[in-house]
Amino acid sequence: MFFCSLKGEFTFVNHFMERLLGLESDQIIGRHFTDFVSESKQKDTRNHFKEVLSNQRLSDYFEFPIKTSSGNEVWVGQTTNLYKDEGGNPKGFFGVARPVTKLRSVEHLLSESETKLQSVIDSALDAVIVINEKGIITEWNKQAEITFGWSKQRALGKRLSETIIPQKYREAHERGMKHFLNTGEGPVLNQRIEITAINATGIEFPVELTIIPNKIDGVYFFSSFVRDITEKKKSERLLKAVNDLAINLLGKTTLEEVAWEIAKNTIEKLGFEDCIVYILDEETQLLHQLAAYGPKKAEEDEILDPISIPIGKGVVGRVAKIGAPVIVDDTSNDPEYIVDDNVRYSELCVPIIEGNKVIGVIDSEHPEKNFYTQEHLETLTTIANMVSTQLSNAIVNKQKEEAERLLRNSEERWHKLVDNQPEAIQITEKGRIVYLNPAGLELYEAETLDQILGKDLIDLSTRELKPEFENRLRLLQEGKKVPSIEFEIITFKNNRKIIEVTSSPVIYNNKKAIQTIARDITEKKKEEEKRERLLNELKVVNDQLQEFAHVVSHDLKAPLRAISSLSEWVIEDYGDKLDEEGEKTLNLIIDNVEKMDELIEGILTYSTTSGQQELDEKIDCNELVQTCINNLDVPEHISIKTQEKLPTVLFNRIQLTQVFQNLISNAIRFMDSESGLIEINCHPEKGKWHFSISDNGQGISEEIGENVFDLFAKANNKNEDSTGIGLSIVKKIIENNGQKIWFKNNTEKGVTFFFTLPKNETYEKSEISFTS
Amino acid sequence: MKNQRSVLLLEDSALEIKKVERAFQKLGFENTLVSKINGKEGLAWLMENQDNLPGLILLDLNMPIMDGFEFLEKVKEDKVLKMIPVVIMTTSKHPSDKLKGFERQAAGYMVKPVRYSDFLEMLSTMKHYWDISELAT
Repeated sequence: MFFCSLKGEFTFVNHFMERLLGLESDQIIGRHFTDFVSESKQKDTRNHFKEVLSNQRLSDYFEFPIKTSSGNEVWVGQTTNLYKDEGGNPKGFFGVARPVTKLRSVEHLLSESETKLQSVIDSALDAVIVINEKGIITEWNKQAEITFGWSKQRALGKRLSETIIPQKYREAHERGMKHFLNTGEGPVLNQRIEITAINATGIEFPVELTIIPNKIDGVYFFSSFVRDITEKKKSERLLKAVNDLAINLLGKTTLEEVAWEIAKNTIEKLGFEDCIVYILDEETQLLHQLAAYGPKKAEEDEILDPISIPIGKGVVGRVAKIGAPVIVDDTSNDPEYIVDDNVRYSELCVPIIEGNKVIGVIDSEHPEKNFYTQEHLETLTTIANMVSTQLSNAIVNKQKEEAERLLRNSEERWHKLVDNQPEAIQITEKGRIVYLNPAGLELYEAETLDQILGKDLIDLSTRELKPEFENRLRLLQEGKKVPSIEFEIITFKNNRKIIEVTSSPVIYNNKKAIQTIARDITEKKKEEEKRERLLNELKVVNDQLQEFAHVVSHDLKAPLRAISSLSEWVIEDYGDKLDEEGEKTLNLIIDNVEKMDELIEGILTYSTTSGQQELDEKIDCNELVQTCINNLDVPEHISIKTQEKLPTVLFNRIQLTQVFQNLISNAIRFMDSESGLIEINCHPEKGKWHFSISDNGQGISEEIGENVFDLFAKANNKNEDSTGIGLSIVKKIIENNGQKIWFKNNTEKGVTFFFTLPKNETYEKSEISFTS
Repeated sequence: MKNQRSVLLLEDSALEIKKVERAFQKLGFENTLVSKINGKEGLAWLMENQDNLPGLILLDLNMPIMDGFEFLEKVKEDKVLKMIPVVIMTTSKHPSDKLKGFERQAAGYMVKPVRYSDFLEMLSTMKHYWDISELAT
């Protein structure tokens, strides 16, 4: 075999060429091939090379004579091809030449003289071993010496089985020989077979051999042509590794599966000590160890202490950055070497590239220096190229899975939350229920989810609501808010329920949907109805009571007036017949009747106070208080002081008049001081007006206390002038309006009554802007 | 010229009727006092005496069969009868009764005082105003 430049000058020859020409390689290299071709065929030889160059392909078989160093002419047969650089440009020729004359059939050779046979055997490219019928080696050529490490001298006379046949095949070998000699049948003969052999040091290696039996003078001998196919096997193994990986990767879609398969296959098939697959995280620009075979492998498909390497750092980082494979023959010379679990001296690192982008790195380290060959690099590159698409898909899948997982998680969380809600929660897509929580099942009294999925609430309700439902659905789909709605449904168990429903647009399973919360308000509604009915009944009873009081007081008043009138008529008609005592008694009757009339009037007023018919109005308290004072006929020894500016309030005028009139008249009535003073004040507090009416009169005796507000109670029993109804009315008015009334005896003398009135901010503001 | 027209009193209580009669006597009223015990009888009497209608009607509110308000409504529905002034004389101080009365075009609303002497005073004042208004027409 040889290589030569495009000009035809030898650049490399192997030792067969050396032997063929009878020269050392340095005597050949640099010289033109025509120097060794017989003159008669030099032109044809040139043409042969030219043809190869112009055809750009392997030549046909071509025979020509060459001149050997000994001056002999030897015919050789040759095939020639171009070898090209990476860019595909021809760089030179390489060819394989074999001596033609000496490679005729063995039969022919045997007919030649023994010497001639010897030279043929010696110059054969394969190891040639000849054994006799007894299995004794009778011939052992030079190549056999090289291949098996036995010198010819040592080999001859030995049994074949003791030399190159591995222990396990020896018995079979002996048996086969015997069988053949007995029967003439030998299944392994006359064909090329692959088997292993051992060399002198006992190392087993693969060989390819052909055994041809010959019979000369009635005696058999066997010629074996053996070729060491270790290298061939290695290439085949690499190819097989790639093939196996390709097969193993079929159907693997997850990133981890793909990565682990790469690491595992690389180790097993390429005979590496370790292999780590890194994947680049685009976001962080870190290379993460995803799969590792070798010392870093812990349990099944799990990495011990996985490390991450920033892009550009270390051999791995550098390879990821430049996007080209690297072999480091001696890591101790590489300052960038990153020690992972152990220092290893050589390293092979190839990038995994998909669509011009590095997506990961396959890295292998070995404790021996110079372990990795160009072939390893090429194989691993092939592997990297082969897996890139699958790996890239796996990365995308993983990202997708991650996103889906997150989505699932959030949905799971949502479901957990919603499943435990006491309220019915449902998701509706395009008007159909796609999810309902357990509380919802209970509400609709469905046995299973299937009963309700795919339906809508309208299916449980009356069709009359359909237009409204459709309108709500449209608004919700437009992302608008809708108010809650109450309606009656008939459950799956045919029970009537009233539900209140609130709906809002949501995203469910990545789709636009509507979330609806439904509450059972049947009981609430019943309660409301009951309350309303009771209130109505109460109102009727109240009205009747008022009517009753009205009639009763009228009916009571009539006879009273009669008593009064009759008494006066007695005085009028019989005045002259009555003595002073008699007339006085009759007048007492009249006085008491009058008092009774006042009492009845008081009851009547009290009973009608609750029926607040008149509307509230704006009342200027200054004016109202002044009117009350004017109506009251204040005795001269009492002075009433009113705060300079009382507020304007929103209240019922008649009622407020009653309040002030009653309180002021009480203060006057119970005034026992020689110079009486009644003070009316007001101040705002906590959003209300606080009024106070203070006097320096009798005050409220302790035994009466809070009872002062009770019907017919009097502040002071001694006072015969009052009915005791006034304060009850005041309290009723104040409290019916959601306000408060209370009193406090003054420290010196008298009592102060306090009450609140509502303070209307907006009204007051408008008032200010009106006045200003 | 003296006001000689009669006065119709609608009152179900005999004692109240007597009170008004007595007051008329006491105050020296010369007008004829006709009393009827409910609205229905009052209306019937008015129908019978179209040619000699009273100049004033004193009306109690609380009466059986046809009460004062109903009577007032009927009177005010009639073209002729509505010209007669009606003064309500009642024991009710209730504002809603007063309002109802004036809504039905009562000429006056008087709450009967408890004391007979006060009643006399009130009736005398009313008679005085009636006399003046009668003379003016």
